[in-house]
Amino acid sequence: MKEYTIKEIIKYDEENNRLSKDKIGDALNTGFYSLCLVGLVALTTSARLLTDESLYRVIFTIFSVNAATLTIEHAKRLAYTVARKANVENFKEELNKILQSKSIPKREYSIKNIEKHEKSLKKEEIKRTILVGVAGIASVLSLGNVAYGAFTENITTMLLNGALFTGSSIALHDQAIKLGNMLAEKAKIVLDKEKHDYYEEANKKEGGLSK
Amino acid sequence: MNIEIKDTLTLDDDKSYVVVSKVNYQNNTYLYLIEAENNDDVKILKLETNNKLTEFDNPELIKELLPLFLKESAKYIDFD
Repeated sequence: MKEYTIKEIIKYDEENNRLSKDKIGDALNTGFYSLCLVGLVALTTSARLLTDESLYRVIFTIFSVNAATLTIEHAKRLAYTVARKANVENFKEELNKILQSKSIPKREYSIKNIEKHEKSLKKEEIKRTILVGVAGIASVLSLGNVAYGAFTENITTMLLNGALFTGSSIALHDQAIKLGNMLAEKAKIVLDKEKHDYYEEANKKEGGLSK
Repeated sequence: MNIEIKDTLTLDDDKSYVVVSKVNYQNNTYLYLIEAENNDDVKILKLETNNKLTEFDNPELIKELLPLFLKESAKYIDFD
C-alpha cells in the first residue's frame, strides 16, 4: 500500500485561493460523474452501490442532457479505475449498453419478508405512516388542481380541513406536503403555489382551516 | 403472495416499507409503499407475477393511480 502525507490543505473558501475555483469545480464534477457512472452500472448488478433512486434519475439526466462530451469521456476513464477498485464486473460493457440505450434501467426489488399487520408491534407507527401517505396524495391532488370526482374530492377536503391542516398536526402536515411534492414529481403534476400558500397560512392559525 | 394494506414489507434493500395502498388497475397490481422509519422514502411499484416489485417511469399512469390509491387506503383512516 502506498502511503501519502498531507503537506498542505487549501480550504475552498480561502481568500486568494491559489487554485482556480473553476478547476476545482471541474474536478468535483468529473469525480462525481465518474462515481455516478459506477453507480449506474452497479445498480444493474448485485453490487448496487447507489440505492437512492432519485439520485439515480438525476445522474441519468445529467448524462443524457447536460454533460459535455469531454466531461463524460473524462469521467468514463476515471470510472473505469473506480469500478476496477470496487470490483464491478463487466463494467465497460455494461456502461456502454446503458449509455447507448438512453433509458433508465428499472429497479427491481425482491420481497424478503412480509409482516402481517395483525402481528405487528408497531401499529401506531403504521397508522401514522398510512395517514401521512394518504394526506400526501390528498395534498398533491388538491394543490395540483386535478379533478378526480366527488368521492376523492370529498376525502381530500376532509383531510385538508381535518387531519392534515390543523394546528395539532404540524409534523404530519409538513411530512404530507413533502410527500405530496415527491408524488407530484413522479406524476409530473404542477402544484398551485397560491393555493399551497393559502393552506400554509391557514395551518399557522390554531385549529387550521374552519369549514 | 398475499400482500394487504397495513402490512410491512422488507425489501432486498433491507428497508421496511408500510403498504399504504394497493390497487388493481388494468390487470396489474400496484403498491404504494412508504418506508416505516423514514417517511421521505416513497415508492410506487408494480407487483410482477414472479412476486418481484418493479419501479416504472410513467407519469400518466402514476396520475391515474394516485386517486385509486387514495380511495383504497382512505378506508383505513379514522376521520374522527
